[in-house]
Amino acid sequence: MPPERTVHVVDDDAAVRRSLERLLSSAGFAAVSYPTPEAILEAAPGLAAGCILLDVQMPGMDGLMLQAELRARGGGLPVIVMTGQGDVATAVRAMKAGAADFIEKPFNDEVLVTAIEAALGMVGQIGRDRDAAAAAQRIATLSPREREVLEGLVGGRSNKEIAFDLGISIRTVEVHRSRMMERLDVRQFAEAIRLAVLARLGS
Amino acid sequence: MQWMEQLSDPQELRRCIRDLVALSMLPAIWNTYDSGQISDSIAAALVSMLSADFVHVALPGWREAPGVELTRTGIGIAAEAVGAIRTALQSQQLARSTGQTAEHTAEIANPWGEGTMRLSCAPIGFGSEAVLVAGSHRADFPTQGQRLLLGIGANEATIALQRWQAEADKRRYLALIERSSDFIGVADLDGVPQYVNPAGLRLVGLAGMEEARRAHILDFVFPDDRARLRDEVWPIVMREGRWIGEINFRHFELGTEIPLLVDWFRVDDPRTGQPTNIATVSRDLRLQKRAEAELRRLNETLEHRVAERTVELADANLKLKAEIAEREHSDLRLHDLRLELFHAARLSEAGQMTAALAHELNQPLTAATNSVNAARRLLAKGDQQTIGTVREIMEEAAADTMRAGHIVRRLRDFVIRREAEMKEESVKSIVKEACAFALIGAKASRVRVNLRFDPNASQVLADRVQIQQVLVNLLRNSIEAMADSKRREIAVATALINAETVEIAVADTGTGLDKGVAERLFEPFVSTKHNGMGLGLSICRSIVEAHGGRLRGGPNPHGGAIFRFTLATASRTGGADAP
Repeated sequence: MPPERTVHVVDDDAAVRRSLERLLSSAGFAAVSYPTPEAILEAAPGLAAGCILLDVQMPGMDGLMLQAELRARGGGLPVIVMTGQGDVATAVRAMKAGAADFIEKPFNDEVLVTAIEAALGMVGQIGRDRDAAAAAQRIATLSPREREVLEGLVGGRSNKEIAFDLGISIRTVEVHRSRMMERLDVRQFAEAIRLAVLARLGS
Repeated sequence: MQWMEQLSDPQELRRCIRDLVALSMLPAIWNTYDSGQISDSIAAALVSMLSADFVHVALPGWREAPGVELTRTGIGIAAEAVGAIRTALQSQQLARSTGQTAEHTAEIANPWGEGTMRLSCAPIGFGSEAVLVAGSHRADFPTQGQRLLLGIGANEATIALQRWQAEADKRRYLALIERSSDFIGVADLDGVPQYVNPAGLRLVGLAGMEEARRAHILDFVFPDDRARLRDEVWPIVMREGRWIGEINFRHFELGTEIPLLVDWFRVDDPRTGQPTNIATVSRDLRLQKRAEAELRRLNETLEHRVAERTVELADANLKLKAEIAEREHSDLRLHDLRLELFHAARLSEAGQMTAALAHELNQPLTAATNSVNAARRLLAKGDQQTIGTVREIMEEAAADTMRAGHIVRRLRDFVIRREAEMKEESVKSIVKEACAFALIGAKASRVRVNLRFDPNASQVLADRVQIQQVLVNLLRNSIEAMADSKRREIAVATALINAETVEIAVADTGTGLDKGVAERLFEPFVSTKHNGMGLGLSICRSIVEAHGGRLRGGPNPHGGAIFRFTLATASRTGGADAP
């Protein structure tokens, strides 16, 4: 297995690590797992290729801190962050901090494989720029209202808060939200967030 | 008669006649005199007429009139001599000698001189005790003439005194009748009024007896009652001597009815036994009737008042009932509110842990999903050798799913609102579960938890979820308090402190209790956390106290804080009076 196909898994939960190793292995990747952030930081200088799949919530140092630390140590490997369900704020922070992508636990194997393939296909900042341009294009198809709703959601605000901010009913916010998802051609809200973050980064 | 010879002297005779005339005149003067005055008058007259040295009168007391004992002295006898005379008379027992009811004479030693004192005594008709005594030192005393005068004087005095006494009785009875507030009247047998007392006259509106005598007793009666009086009452009174009953009189001027309780009676001549008069003593019943009416009215008023009051009381009672209902309702509301609050606190606690829980849940779910997907991929390859691996993977996936389910169940148990459910519970299991729950997401805090169980304190009577809430609250407070501490240790210890009480202590190595906060630790809305509601400890205390225990907080000697609370041992419920 070439090192380019290696996925470095960081998660404090042994069951998750083992299951990821098996899944990645069955999907044709090489999996190396680390139980703690410190463990991968130790190994970081030797990591030449592949990508990093890290859990955002770990004892001692969380995923975002580890991401920043890896970056600071000059590690150029793309990072995919695993977040909790609906943890928009963390996802947005991860993306802004330069994560290639984020996936919400628990995830579909296809989503994981797609994200890993995309990350592995990236060559540094260039890949991200390309993604950002594509995202901006799709975001541009939204109506101003739909974009406002998306911005609010990316800002971590609830439907209720957005409705209050925009002076419209919650029901209307829900309508805009679902229409926005249709136009962006995404099924998961996390994907919409990813596009929004990428588009803003690219603009 | 011997004494007539002495009267042969014309001078003496003239004097005697003059004295007799004078004596006969006295009763007219005595008309208005009382017994004392009469006695004095006769004594004074006789001293002069008899030329006696003294005249002594003694009358016994009679009814309300006092007794009389007086002495008149003649010319030349000093008033001071009276005492000596009386002493002498008493020593002679002359005045009171029994049987001496007739006129007699006697001699005593002269109380104020030499020789003897001659006495002449005459009874005054009131028995032996009433006596008239004249005394003189002269040798011829008493002459026949003198004895005659004394006797006549005594008779006159007797008659006068008796008349006075009789009139005194009459005056007394008359006063009684005249002053009586009852209607008192006497009529002749024809029904013509002869006497009506002033109260009677006033009652029927008559000015005086003149008017009364012009009427007939039927005129005194209200027209409706006249036939009854004439045909029924009068014959009964004449036949039987008395009738008592109610009859309405009539006011002569106003014509109004005057209800009277009438006592009619027949007056008979005591000698012949023949009826002479008909009389009545009647009582005005108006006052009584008025009083009765008043009483009735009062009763009615009272009844009315009672009725009113009953209504008021009923109202008050209703109000009270409403208030009680309201209070019960508020109690219920309070109870609900408490549940609500406990629930809110648990929710808040749960809310604070949502992120941690989501992660905690996502871990087994992720692992299970990954495992299932990995197995699916392996199976798709159709490699026979992989079957063993897939079975292993699937077992782990199932275990991970179970793990997720367990977390969900614990969360639901914690969040679901419910009534306290006191059961015999294992202290160890309660504490262990609570610690596991409190430490969710706290692995990041690198807290070391040290559990120490007293083997003697195994079972308690408690609501498992509520006590776990208390423990979780205390543990999470400890975890938060140690966020900046180098040493992060929690020691949970159980101890049997007496036969009925188990104590659970949670000690940490955190920042400890600020003095200002320590005093108000259990007050609601007092918090040191920037995002705390300040309800945690206050609710914890409520829960512990609802369990009959106590929750206290204090400094940990090793730094940080210790919270202790007590619970009842389950053995206590083994008694006969167990609920």
